[in-house]
Amino acid sequence: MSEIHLLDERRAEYHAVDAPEFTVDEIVRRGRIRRRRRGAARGAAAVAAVAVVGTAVLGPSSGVFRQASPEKVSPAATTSRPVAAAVGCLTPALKRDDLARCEDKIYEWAQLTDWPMSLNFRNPPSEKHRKARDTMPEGTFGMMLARSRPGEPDLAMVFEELKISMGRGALAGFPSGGESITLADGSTAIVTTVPATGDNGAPGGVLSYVVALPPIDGVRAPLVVSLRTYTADGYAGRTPALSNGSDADARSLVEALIAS
Amino acid sequence: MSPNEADDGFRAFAEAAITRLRPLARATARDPHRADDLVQTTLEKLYVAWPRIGRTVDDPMAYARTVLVRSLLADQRRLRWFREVLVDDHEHAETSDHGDIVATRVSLMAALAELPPRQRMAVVLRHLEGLPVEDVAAAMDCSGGTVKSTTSAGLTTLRRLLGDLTPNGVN
Repeated sequence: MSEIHLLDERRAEYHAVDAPEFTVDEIVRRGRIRRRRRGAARGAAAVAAVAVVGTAVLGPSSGVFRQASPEKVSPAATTSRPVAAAVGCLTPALKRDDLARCEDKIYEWAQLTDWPMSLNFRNPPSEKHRKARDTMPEGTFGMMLARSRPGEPDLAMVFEELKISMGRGALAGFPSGGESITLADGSTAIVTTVPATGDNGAPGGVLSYVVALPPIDGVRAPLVVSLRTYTADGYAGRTPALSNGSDADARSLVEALIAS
Repeated sequence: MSPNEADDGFRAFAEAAITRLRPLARATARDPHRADDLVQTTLEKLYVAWPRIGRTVDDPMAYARTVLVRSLLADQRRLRWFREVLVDDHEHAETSDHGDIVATRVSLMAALAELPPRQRMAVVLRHLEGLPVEDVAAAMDCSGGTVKSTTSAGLTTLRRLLGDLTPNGVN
């Protein structure tokens, strides 16, 4: 039997795919967002909203997170929410697009803050606004908003990254400590800050909010919002302070994402 | 054409395109979730450009297929370091009772997954989508000769793999 005949017999199997889990309405909605952003991007400053790899999202936060099994999570890390299929715009369904429905919320949130939702000037044009989910490892979705500000007199520009990611228990890990706080809707979040100190003596480094969403099929899906500051090359190890309002920014973003 | 009319036209196209593009994406992306992401992203891109496509493109479906193929190949070049493939346990659970049909289908997909990305793409476009060499070359942005040699190499591997994997040796 020839190879071509071999494949001819399998065309029926090839075309037999299950029903899609997405709809044309969703595509049109996201297409409108894409169209709107493309228009807005043309007038925007050179700041970033880029896709990042989920595990890399957590990379800079070493010392904050550990690779922990779900049973080792502290009681405080367990959300106070009832078990639900979706939390706000989050759908912890163990798929790569867990945060896909959050684009609108993130965009709306960014418009009300100093955080831009714009271009990364270091990315080639073809990658502008590329969907984060295209580059995520399975099980994790992440987005990053970035901005810069003038540093202290002896520092170059200070860069700030606000990262939003969602992973599964063993992949993302949970904070080993931190302060347990109650968010606006009653959910519990763990807040940690790396004890880094900026040149001006103020605390800084990495601030993280983690909300453990209800487990799906026994797997916990944490939402992680972390804000990291760093400065340009040549100032390694001199972590600049978090800017005023960083805590409020991270917290309000978490609350926006999980709000019904 | 009003915006509403344009949207209606796109919706009708997208309904048909989802059916046409998903098998291609599933067979070439290896990961079903990534495949669906790819289909959605392709159609979102087409939505943004739909007014222009409606005016200047003769065959929007072929255009969509080319966008999908090139997006996937570009992603695979860019993300070569990323080798993990998601396995959907639920999907396997749902289809595990279909006996030989499932076994045969798994064999096809498993065999395709063994091919290098461009060989897989060329074989799927040429022999499962049934496109002529010229159209495959246009979609993959290469020459017809490259399509023929790539397809030949892929088929050689597939023959061995499918022969090995097909249940009861029946083919």
